[in-house]
Amino acid sequence: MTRSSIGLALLMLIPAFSAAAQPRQPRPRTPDSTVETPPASTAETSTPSTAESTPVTTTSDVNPYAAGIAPAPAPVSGRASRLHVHDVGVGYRGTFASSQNGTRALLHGPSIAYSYYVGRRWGFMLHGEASFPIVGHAGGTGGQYDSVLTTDYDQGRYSFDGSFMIARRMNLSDALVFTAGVGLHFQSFALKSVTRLPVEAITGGVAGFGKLDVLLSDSFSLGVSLSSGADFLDFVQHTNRVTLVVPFSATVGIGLRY
Amino acid sequence: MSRLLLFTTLVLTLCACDRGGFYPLGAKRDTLVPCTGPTSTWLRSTADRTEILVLGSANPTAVIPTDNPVCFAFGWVEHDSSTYLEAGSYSLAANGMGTAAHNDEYTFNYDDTSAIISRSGSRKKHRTSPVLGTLAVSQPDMSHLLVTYRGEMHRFTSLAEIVETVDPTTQAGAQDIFRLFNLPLFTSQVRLIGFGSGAMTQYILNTPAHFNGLIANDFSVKVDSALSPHTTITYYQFEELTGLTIDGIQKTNVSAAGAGPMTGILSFVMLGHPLGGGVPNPVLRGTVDYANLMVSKGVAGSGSYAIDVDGPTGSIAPYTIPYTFATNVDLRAVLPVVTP
Repeated sequence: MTRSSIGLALLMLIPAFSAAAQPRQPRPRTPDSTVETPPASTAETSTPSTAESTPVTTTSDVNPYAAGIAPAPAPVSGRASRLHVHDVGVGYRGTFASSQNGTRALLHGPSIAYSYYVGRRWGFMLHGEASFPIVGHAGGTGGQYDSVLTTDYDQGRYSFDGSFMIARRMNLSDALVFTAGVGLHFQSFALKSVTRLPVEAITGGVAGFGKLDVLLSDSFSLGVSLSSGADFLDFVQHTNRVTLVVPFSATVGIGLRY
Repeated sequence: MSRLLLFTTLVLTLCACDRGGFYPLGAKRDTLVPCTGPTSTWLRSTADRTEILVLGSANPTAVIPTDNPVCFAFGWVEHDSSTYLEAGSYSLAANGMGTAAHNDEYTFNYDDTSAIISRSGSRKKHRTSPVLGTLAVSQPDMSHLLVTYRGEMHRFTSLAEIVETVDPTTQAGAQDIFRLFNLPLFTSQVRLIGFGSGAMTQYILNTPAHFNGLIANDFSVKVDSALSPHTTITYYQFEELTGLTIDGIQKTNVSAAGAGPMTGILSFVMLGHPLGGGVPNPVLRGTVDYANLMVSKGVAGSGSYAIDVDGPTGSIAPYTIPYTFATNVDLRAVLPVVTP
């Protein structure tokens, strides 16, 4: 169950990340502006490898109308390479939910988290978290409830959370990096019981994320992150609609960057 | 198509999609308080439904003190099997005036057209403050009861009287027995939150969920998985209406689209008026076999029920009841519409 949900979350986000993670190709040159041909005098005598290694570019020989067009600039060789950062960690997560008729619930428990950053100073970020609520509180029109959920919801207690964000990495010092992101958020949670009605929702909204990394080496870092969100969309379309879900979590993790 | 299947599977896996929620944390599935003593059950036909009244007293005009109320359930099953039920308690004074109170109201609207996942199914409305209704009860004879409930007068007939009226030796009689047999199934399924909808996936549990009968014992439900939502409902000497007991296992082996066969045999006993000294009087016994029924779009779609009835004088030839009788809950042949 956990694998299937995380898998789908990744499936949904992989295309965007794949596009972002691909090395950018040099802009193709149009045939009428630049053509690479070996010099006529050496084409027949040179070996192919020599010819490939010493191309001569002409323009006016092929298309006289393009004579005044300057060649495309060469790719900037000094640009920083794209950074990939993977973080895994453990944390504690809470989820507050309120519904149309005034029912309110707060669930909290331990979580495991994964985040991925790709980019330079600016980049894209994916954050996913699975949590296992163990304590619940309720109030409002649904009545009071304060209990350990492991007793009452013995058939399953889980929450899955995913965020797709635009993020910014900031070097605070040689050893400290702060990453902040905002973007889209979706979440599902479910509490299942034999004797009690299920408490469940699939919601969507906006996400916010902040992470402070201590760089331990060229590849590894130790990070502390905070994430939250605000969901206003109830994808199940309950009769008693979920009007607001606010997740919040704190995570400690290890990062790998390359 | 594969993406849709993947998404549907994920949604069903992560969430039962009970659109009747979002339920309060800690809310119990079954909040029914069953009757604790002798009961009586009364029925009434109207043009489009069969009304049901269950009182927690064998003598419906007996005094029930306000500080010691007994069970009270009122509801109806429409001819297409749409059901409403409210269950609570009542008290009655010596002059036949009293009060009924309930917190929970259950509804099921029959729907064979919309997609299963978007159907509402059985729903419960829980009211934090009890709903009070005035009650006036008088009994012109042993078989009939005049009840004015919330200002509307109803002329009820004893269930035992109807059981004794039915003729099990005819096809029409067998059909009426089948309709009577279905009444407690409908009034109990309406308390099975999510019944008839995609929200049944909430019963994908390691152990079956149990629901009390209005009068005695219980039934349980269990669904295998989201992709293979085979549903097993087991009745344990289940008594929902006075003198009508059901026992056995009913299986609905449907796909996620709500299509597939049913299996299982439910046995039943229907009691008539008690014999001298209150001795039970089993008038009808029998079984209903679901093996020839096919479910389509989540409802009975083709095939038939096989009902085998033993009457007071012994075994009677089995009858075949067309699947259309699942939505033909019309008892007017044995319980005519009468004006109070």
